[in-house]
Amino acid sequence: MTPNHAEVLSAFFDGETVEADALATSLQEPDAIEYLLEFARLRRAVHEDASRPTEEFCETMRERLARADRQRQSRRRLAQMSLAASLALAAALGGFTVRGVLEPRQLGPRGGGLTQASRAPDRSSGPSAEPVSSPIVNAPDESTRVRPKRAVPSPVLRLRFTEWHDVVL
Amino acid sequence: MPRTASDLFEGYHVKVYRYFLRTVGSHDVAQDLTQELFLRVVRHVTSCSPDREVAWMFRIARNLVVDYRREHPAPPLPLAEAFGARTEATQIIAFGLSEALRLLTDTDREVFLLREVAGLDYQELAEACDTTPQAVRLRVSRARGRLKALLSRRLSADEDKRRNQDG
Repeated sequence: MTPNHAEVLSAFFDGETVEADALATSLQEPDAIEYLLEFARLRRAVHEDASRPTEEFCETMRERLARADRQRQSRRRLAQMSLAASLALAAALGGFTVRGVLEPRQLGPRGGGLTQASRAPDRSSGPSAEPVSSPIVNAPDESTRVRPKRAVPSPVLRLRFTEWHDVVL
Repeated sequence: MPRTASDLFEGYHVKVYRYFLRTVGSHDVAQDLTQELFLRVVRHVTSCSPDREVAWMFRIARNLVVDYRREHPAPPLPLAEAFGARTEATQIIAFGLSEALRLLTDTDREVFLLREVAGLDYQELAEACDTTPQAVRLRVSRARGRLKALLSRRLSADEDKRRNQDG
């Protein structure tokens, strides 16, 4: 039996894919059957091995591994919660910042920059004169004046922020 | 979802123990190495994909044996008691097998035991032994051929001894 033929028989015996032609050639070898029988005897001898670790050892290991698995899972859960909390916190802070930047622009600059005190009526044209239309917007009185909102989180958001802060720390 | 170390222990502790026992030849050392292996498994089990965990685990086992051999270069203890063969015929071959295994090279013995004891296929064996499936195929075949030759020699020597005692 050449090493190549023995290799094909060995792989075939192990259930690996072999070339059909190579297997046919190997099986035609005079001692091919003897080889296969010897492989089977070896396997049987190995599989009839009854040695096992002691039951005491197995019990100790089961307890240790179960404890270690539990610890690992709780650490993993804590890490996931921390990550989720960090992401939520980052999103919230990002949101507040964007809101603080955008909202004053949408509402215009502070201090009535677009408004101007109304001019005094032009007395020179007489009392019957029509009021001159002007592109200048009259300044609203104090009660109707719109003030830009400050970028301060609402109480609800502040409460959530506190909760997240507590969770993270 | 990857299995837990407890699952792997239930599925493989006997195979792992037998692999160690046949490699190092001592029940106590085999148990110690089995323990060490599963303690490593529990630390790193999440880093391994589920379809490769057997090869990964026996790769750790192989590395543990290499470390043990480095610290204890003495030849392994007799392995005869390690084989609890049940029938008379397999007792003879098992005793011969334990002797013959000692005469194999480390790489051939390792690959034979991982194949026959752990049941790894050639792809898993290649991953566990850091080699290719083709090399594994060659090593398994070589180990079997060598074992066959050693066992034949052993059995014929036993036969001659028995004949001389009868005569």
